[in-house]
This record gives sequence, structure tokens and C-alpha cells, in this order.
Amino acid sequence: MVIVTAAADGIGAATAAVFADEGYRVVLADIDPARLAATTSTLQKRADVTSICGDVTTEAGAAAIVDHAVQTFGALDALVNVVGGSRPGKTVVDLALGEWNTLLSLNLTSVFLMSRVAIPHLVQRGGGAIVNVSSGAGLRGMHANPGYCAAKAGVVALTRAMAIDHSASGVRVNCVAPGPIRTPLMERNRTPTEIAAMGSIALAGRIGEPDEIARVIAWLASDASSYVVGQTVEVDGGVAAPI
Amino acid sequence: MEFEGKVALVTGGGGGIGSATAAHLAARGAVAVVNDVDQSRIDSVVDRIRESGGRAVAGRADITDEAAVGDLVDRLVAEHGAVDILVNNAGGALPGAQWAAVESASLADWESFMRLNLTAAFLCSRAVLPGMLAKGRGHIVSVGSISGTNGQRGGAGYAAAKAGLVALVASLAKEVGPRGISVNGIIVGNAPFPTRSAERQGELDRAVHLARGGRTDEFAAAIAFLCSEASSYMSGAMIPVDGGFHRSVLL
Repeated sequence: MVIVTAAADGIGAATAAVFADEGYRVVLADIDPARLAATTSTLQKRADVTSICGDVTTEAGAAAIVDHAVQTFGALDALVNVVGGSRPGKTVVDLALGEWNTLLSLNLTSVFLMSRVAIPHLVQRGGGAIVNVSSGAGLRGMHANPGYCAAKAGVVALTRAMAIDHSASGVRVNCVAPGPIRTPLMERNRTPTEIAAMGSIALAGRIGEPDEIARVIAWLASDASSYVVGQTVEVDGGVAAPI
Repeated sequence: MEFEGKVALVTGGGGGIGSATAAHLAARGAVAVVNDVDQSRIDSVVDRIRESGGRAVAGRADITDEAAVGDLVDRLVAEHGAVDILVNNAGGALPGAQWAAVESASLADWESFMRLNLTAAFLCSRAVLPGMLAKGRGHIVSVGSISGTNGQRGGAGYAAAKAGLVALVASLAKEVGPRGISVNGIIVGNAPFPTRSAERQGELDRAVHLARGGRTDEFAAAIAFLCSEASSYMSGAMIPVDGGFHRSVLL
């Protein structure tokens, strides 16, 4: 059984769908009840899934999601921390402390809180996998989005730190760093012209689809990656090396 | 099946990771071409794959030899239609090459490490590219080593060649990625090595999070992932498959 956060749309929904198609029982978690219900009902037609609405930036929210998952489906095999987001446009000079804290909470603290609750369950059953979603922004930076960049870099470091601490208990922790992906977040923040420009920079000649991140996540959660530990895999169509 | 009918050329296919990769791809439908210089090693891998119901063919060639690489690829195209997947796996030391510190290493040995660990990947990649580019698709996966990022005492030629392989992958990805060819690799750490002492193995195991060496099938599975559509938005990447090597230096 796998828990996927931010599962209502974008990379989270694609990830839930890939796991469902691979035969996992899937727990979809999201903060938006309407979209969560819609995505869940689509998947219910072909897989054993359940959903829970909750806020992973709070201790109670994270605990409730994991409790619901374990009570519904029993043993936990994997946790995928997809939750994140930002609205670029402000440099450090303009960013309010409250905005900074919100970005860290959504993109980094959420991973800490969910992992903290999930790890004992993974250890209890002899091991499992955690896959986090960072961003090219965390590795390479981006314009006018310092809080998001810092938080996503924190996810890379937290991935390594948890790998160091919990590999011995059988918990394999890895991370993906997506480049430009066609998600609702992308479509909200960027104009079609900007999206096309990002695609033209990628060696692949296009931006990626959520499903192309989801399949790498599924690989990192599976035994097919059993000797991959503490890594952040860039899935960016080659954007990171444009020169 | 995932690789049904794909022709997958695995260099160094008689060895540990190479034979595991050939078997893994064949088990998922590929026609595995087992390349090696040693016919008996090839035969044993081909037999093993066929016994498990897979398709495998022998592809004996010295891949450090430009003409031999050309002949092999020509033959595969003639007999099997294409080379869809190339795994640049062959590596290590050619017969006679000495592992030695730089201060005592010979130029011949240095060049020998370059030929097997870097030039061979260039030659094989170049040879399969026309066919792949004509189809507008193909997968090239190269096998690097943590020696290439960390250095290796007494193995500077090997390490430098493996570092060069990373740059070959990145450069090739830029050149042919936009034309549909997927070019990526893995960086192997703590793979099985028959002549390694138990003491040295213990040191390595203590240096990785998983506290054990990698199995050949684990490296093969990562290579297969990069040969598959699951990695379709990856380009020019090298994935470390090393059990978490040298990540825990700051205890």
C-alpha cells in the first residue's frame, strides 16, 4: 500500500494512477475535497483506492492521513511526498516572513511531518520506501522564487539525511527533481508562451507530462531500484544542461 | 512485454553486470546480443538465457577495435533489423593492463584503460546511431563508476576514463536527445568484484547506507529502467546506484 500526497491532480494524481495500475492499494491525500473526490472516483473503477482530505503541513493532519491509510489497508509499503507549490514573482527583498514560512511549511515541513509518522510503520513491517518530490529549482535555482528554491533544496538534504538514518531499518529514501512539467501549478503560474519556451530549452524539445515523473517515482518505490539510496534523480528532459 | 522484439546489444555481456543485464532485458522480451571477447563466456550467458525461454545471440567482438565494432553492428542490422538498445557496459582492465599509481603507471596502460572504458563507448554509440536516428528512437545506456567521481587509488586511468564517460553521455544527449534518442547512464558503486579481499569488501560495506554490496541484478534493473519508457523524460542523466556510497562521511 502506498500513500500519495497532493494526489488530487498533477504529479500526485499521475503517481496515484501509476501505482494503481501496478496493483498497489493507493491512499490519495489532498487538501482539496472536490478535486480529491473526482480523482479518487476515477481510480476506484480500476483499483483498490481510498482517499483522505487533510493538511500535511500540520502534525494532526499528517497523523490522520497515515492512520486512515493503515486502518483501511494495513501494512504501509511506500510514502510519496508530492505536496508542494509556489507562486513566483518576489525576490528576497520583497518576500514577507510569513510568505517565506508558508513556502517552507508547504514544501519542506510537510515532508518531515509525513515521514516522521510513516517511518515507524515502514520499519514495523521490515522496511519500505519513501520518495520525495524536489524540483530543478532546488538544485539549480530559478528567478524570483527564493523560498521555494530553498525549501526544495531542503528536500534534497532531508532525503539524504533520512537515508543515512533509516537505511539500516530497511527504509529506502530517494527523491525526484522534476524540471518543467505540465501541471496545474505550471499552467497557473506560466503563460503558454513561457511554457513553450521552457520546452524548447529541454533536449527532449518539450516540457514533461506528470506521468513521466510518476513512472520514475514508481521505479524508486519498487525493488527494481533496490540499490539506489539517498539520491535525487533529475527528470527534466535535459533542461539542466542547456549550453 | 516491455522490450518485445527490441534488439539490445550489451557490451561486456559475459561479465557480472553485463550478463545480468542481458538476462533481465531478454526476460522482458528483448533479443539480447551478448558481446564479449571471450566466446566461452558468451556461450554460457546465451545458453542460460535460452534455457529460461529468452532470446539471445552471440556478438563476439573486440569493441576497442573500430572495424570490429562496425562489423558487429552491420551484422546485427542485417540479421535482426536494428540495434534498438545499446548498453555500454564493458569496462575494467584489458588483459595485461596494470593497475598502478600515476607515478609508476605506463602510458600504454593509461591508453588501454581509456580504450576499454571510454573509447569503446564512443565507438559503439557512433556505430548504432545511424540506425537509431533513422528510426527516430533508441536507447543508449552507459555504465559509469564511482571511481569516476571519487577517484581511485592505483586506478587513475580507469577513474579518468569513467569520468570521461559521464561527459560523453551528457554530450551525446545534447546531440541526439532532440532527435529521439535516449542517452543516460548509471554510476555503479560497490558492485561484486571477484578478486576483492574480504577486508576491502568490509570497508566498502561500512561506507554505504545499505551496509552491503550491490547484486548484479540490482544494477541490471536500473539499466533496464533507463532502457524503458518509464524514463522517457530523462536525458543526459547518470543515476548513482551505489547503496548510498560516501554519503555518510559526516558521521
